[in-house]
Amino acid sequence: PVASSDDPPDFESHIVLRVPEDCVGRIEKIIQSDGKHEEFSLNLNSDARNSTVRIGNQLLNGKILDLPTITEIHKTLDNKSLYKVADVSQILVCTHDSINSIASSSEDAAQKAAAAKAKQWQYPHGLTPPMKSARKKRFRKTKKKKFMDAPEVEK
Amino acid sequence: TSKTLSNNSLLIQHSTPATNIATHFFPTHPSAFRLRYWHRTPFTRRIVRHWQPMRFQPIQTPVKHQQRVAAMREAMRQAQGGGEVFYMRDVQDLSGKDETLVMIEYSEEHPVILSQPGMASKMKNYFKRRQANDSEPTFTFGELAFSHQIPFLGQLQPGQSLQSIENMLYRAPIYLHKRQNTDFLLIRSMNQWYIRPLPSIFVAGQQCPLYEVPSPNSKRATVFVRDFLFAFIYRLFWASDSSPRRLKMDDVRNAFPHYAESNIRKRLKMCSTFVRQGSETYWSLKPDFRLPSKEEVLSMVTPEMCCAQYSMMAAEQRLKDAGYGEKYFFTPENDEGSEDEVTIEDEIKCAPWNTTRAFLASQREKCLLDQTGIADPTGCGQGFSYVRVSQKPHKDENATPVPKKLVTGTNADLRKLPLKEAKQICRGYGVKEEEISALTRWEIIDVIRTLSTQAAKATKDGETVSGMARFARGNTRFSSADMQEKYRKHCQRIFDQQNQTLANTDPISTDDDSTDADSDNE
Repeated sequence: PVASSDDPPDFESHIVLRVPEDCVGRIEKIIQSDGKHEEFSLNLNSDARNSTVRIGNQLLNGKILDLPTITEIHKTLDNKSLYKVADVSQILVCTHDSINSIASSSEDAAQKAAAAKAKQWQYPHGLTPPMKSARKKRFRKTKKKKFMDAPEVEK
Repeated sequence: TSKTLSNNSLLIQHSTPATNIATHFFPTHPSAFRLRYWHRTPFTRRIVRHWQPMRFQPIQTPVKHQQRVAAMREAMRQAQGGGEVFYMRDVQDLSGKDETLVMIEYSEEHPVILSQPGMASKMKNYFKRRQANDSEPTFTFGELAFSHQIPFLGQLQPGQSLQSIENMLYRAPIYLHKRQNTDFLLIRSMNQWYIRPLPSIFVAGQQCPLYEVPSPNSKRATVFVRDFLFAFIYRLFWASDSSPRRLKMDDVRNAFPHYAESNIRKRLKMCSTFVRQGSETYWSLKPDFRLPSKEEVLSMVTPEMCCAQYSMMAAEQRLKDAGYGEKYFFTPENDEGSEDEVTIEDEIKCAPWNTTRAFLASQREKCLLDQTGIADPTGCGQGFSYVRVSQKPHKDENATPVPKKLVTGTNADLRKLPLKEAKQICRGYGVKEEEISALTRWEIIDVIRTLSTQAAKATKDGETVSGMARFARGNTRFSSADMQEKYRKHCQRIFDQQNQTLANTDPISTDDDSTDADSDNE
């Protein structure tokens, strides 16, 4: 059967999960114990941005942010030939903080609110150390878009 | 360097779904939305729709899956009597849930061209020996490639090594980094979540394209669109087990909804006839039409052609979004007073059809690459600018014409210069006796020519050319050589700088470590 050809690649999607330092050991144990160690689950909001990660009895607040870079995932059976699997362009950053981190804390919040709204889902850094602050430091300045991004227009 | 670049002796075997241009991995009509986020497909609401809100989904480990796959592959190997087996036959074989994974982060915001899933690449490790018995460095990934010259714009120092990802689309240097211990890989597969440790991660330097991206509306692009539809139709016929073979119009229309039905019908009529059987309708292959063989269909549209077309379409979408449209041709916008520091002309120079063409032409020694950095993707002088400039030194309008001071008279004819005299001239330039005796006649003449030219250039304007400088040759020819030398040094400097920056494992220190990205570019 021919799928509607503009469906996003529904086969597999990959994303980087970043957790607070104190949760690393628990997740490594889960991976080693084949998930039998403790409950590990994810709840994604309908905005496809905000989310909650549960590790045992602990809840972490997560946000899906857009990475500045494109990262390819390849698989290899001989460590020489690579077969591309997917592109990674987002990171799920989990924190112990409460969700409203962008809430108005300063006076001129109103003016900044619009800009912040568009930027709040942009992660400034790439995944490797040289790609730190990639948007600011590594990318050629490009012509400003006339078109306003509306990533959620997709039905 | 350029000579080795063109001998691309890579043997690349893509996975079967990629070779067959499976619609899973090769969309037949990417929408504007998808082109804007090309290789950056976000988790859209559409994907999330499958989940009920406020319900936790378990995150599993792929261990059981891995055991199942390992058993299956072993059974396959046994069935074939052991030895080498090609495992990448099915879409499912390309899952990231099993086998070793490698991550490659591209340092360019918009890499010129990238593979689609299912396509293969190789990792090569270049190493320049210090001496013949130098011990080889060891790498976890890739195969060692010894070569005197490496196929990049700069060369390695003895003892230096460089890893690289290579396929039929591009070649790019890569640099291994330590992964952050707080990072994991989350995989959504068939509406289930899986977790794996973050794979080994490399950062890739600027791509050296090996495949030309077609310009929008070019003949190549138009022919591709036509062949893409034909290949799709032929595949549907091949997939049919009726006799004669048949296809359903809807299968074509669903894949190419941007075509008018009449248009598709026109193509179908060339090879098949419309049949109505009761309530069922289909197109039946004409008995006198020779359906191109499966191999012929494969060569009509290759995965590389698709990637080049997608690269063009995505860049065209970006240009449109930046305001470049048909209107632009008639009323070039006035950028003065605008805070925008980038002109649309520069954006067009950076478009992949221009950068790939410029780079490939420079490899064929048809041109040099720009050294001012117009199309440098880093914007900070750390990348190459793939914009073509003439190989001939351009005339500086302000400079006073250099008086022709080099004589090529009879008395300066190097062909007639006796060896004895030639040696004497060399001594005059301070060349050591033992060096002279080690040289052949023509090598000596070459030394004289080089040294004389240097001497001639060192003399100030107006000074009369005296002594040996009469053996100097060719004014422009040598400034052209100077230009080549300057160009080579420029390339080497950027090559070295890129290696240094991207191999650096310390995060670049920034004044503000906050996560605000206010002043970044769009």
